[in-house]
Amino acid sequence: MALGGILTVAANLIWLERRLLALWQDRYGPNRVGPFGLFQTIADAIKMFLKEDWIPPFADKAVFVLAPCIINATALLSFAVIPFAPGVQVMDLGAGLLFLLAMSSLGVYSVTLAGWASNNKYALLGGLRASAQMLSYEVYMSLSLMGVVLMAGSLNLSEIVKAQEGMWFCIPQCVGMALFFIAGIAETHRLPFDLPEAEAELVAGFHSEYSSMKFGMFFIGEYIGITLISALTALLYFGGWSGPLFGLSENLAPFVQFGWFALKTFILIGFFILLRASMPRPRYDQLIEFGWKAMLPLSLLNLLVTGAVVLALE
Amino acid sequence: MYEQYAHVLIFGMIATVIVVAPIVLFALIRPVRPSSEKLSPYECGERPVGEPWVQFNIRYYVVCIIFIVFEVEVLFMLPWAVVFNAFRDGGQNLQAAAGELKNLQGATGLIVFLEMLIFLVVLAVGLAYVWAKGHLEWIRETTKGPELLD
Amino acid sequence: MFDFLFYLFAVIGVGAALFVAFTPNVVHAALALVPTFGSLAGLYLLLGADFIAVTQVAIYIGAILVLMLFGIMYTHNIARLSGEQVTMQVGAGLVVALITLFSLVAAVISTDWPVRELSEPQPTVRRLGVLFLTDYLLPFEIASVLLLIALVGAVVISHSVQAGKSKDPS
Repeated sequence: MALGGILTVAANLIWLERRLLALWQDRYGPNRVGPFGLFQTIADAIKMFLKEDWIPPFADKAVFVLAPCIINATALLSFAVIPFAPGVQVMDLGAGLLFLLAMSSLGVYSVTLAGWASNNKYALLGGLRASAQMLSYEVYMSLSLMGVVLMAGSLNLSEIVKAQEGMWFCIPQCVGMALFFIAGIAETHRLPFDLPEAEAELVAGFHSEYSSMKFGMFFIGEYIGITLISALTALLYFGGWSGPLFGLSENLAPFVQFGWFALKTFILIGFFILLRASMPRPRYDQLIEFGWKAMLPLSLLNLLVTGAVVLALE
Repeated sequence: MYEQYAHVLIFGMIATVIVVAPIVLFALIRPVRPSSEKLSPYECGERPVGEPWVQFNIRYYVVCIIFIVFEVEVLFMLPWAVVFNAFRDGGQNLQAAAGELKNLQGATGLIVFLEMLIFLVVLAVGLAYVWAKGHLEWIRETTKGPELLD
Repeated sequence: MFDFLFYLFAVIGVGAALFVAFTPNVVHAALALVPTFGSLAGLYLLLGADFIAVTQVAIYIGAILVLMLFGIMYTHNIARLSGEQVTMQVGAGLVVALITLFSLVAAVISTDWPVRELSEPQPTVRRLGVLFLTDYLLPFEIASVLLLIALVGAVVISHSVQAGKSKDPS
């Protein structure tokens, strides 16, 4: 059930993104299918399902089919450890954060293999770019998380949320949060860091040769990734499900808490989309150098300063 | 704990089914219309020249190696980050958390912090070396040889 | 249940490893290492070593195999080679394989395997952290030196490769 929910949310995000982009860029966006174009997603899905599913004869077929499955499976699996409200999660894993990092490191396969198996120059270059980008930004992501782990003293996401009862970590960990979010954008290769896809130079990069539902899976995988990063940011830095309960009874509390969590997640998703609407794309060498020369030292420094402050406060 | 792993296993299986089902099921009603244009790789309408597996920049490999080093480092640091808080107050919380470990050898927060500092400084030296040698530059003078793609 | 999972992971691991050994396609072989390492991670989980299991996934599958894939892609067209895999040194290979097999079997037989009743596994991260910072502090710091050496070595080697290239543009 949770899975279905995530997939529906991710699919409808495409509609939301197109509408919001249109709003910010002073256009209409999809507005024909249903009220406000709400059924656009359904129409798109039907189209995806019914299009010809072309596996190029020059591609490595098994790997070609495997690649889009990986991105979805790992992104969906990551949601297993996300607590939507106190106690509402698939698995309350002690090392939940670690599990997430492992899953995100598996996502690299999807793009590398897609690029390689397509047997197409653009796809190969896109896949390579994507894997180098995802690998390096994964390091900064896990390093920037370390500040939160240090303050909460746990890898369990529920405990991290509980540790934020006094103050959300977005205040003491503002640098870490910024780093995490930037790394998250790069990890999902969204604009402004969508160099692997860069339609102007690589015509969709690693998924140039994909069509029909397999393309759809890359597409929806990207949006599941956005939801995941936003949910994680909400959990780690914005207190997750915490928020005023309006004096509601015990029975209703989880719903309100879920509501708070969802609200925070959606604000962050909106921020993702706003970034796409407003930011230009950097060059690839700028992206990688920014990572090694700014993100990495900053995240290490952030960790040390956090440790020193935590120590000094005692 | 095993029960939780079982949950994840089931969750993973459902996720896989959800992912694979649309591809398999709708393959039954999808049209198949091969044509000669579809046989060549897409290159914006141009006829592809040469092998698609081009020789590409060695830098991708270097990035991957540096990544492994730092990924291992991250995994070494995570346990430190988890227990650091507990060491601060002389390990009282820690005793409760990990009962059987009684031998803390008088490690206090400061000592633990310094221990980590050494670990980090050693790696920072590595980073500084790589940086100073110019290996973090994506575009370098030395790659002037053959025209490498990207 | 425990036994079932153990044998499941064991079969997956061994099966995938056999595939690695026998497939002619190098990329497929590298990919088949994913279930091999993955089932190892599953076995670690069954033994209650959750941190090691995740490390296995993050480092071996998430990093080292990607590096191997990169390496394969660099070797021009190696993935496209078809036909018989030619083994040049069947005799030498056989000798090495037999020696390895013999020493492994000898080790398995001569080891006194302690059997313990399985207890409910606890998260291991905290205990690892404490041990890193107390009893095993020296290995911990030496690990950082080792990583430093790996880092420097990697860039020095790649640098010499590139320097060679720019001298001889071929």
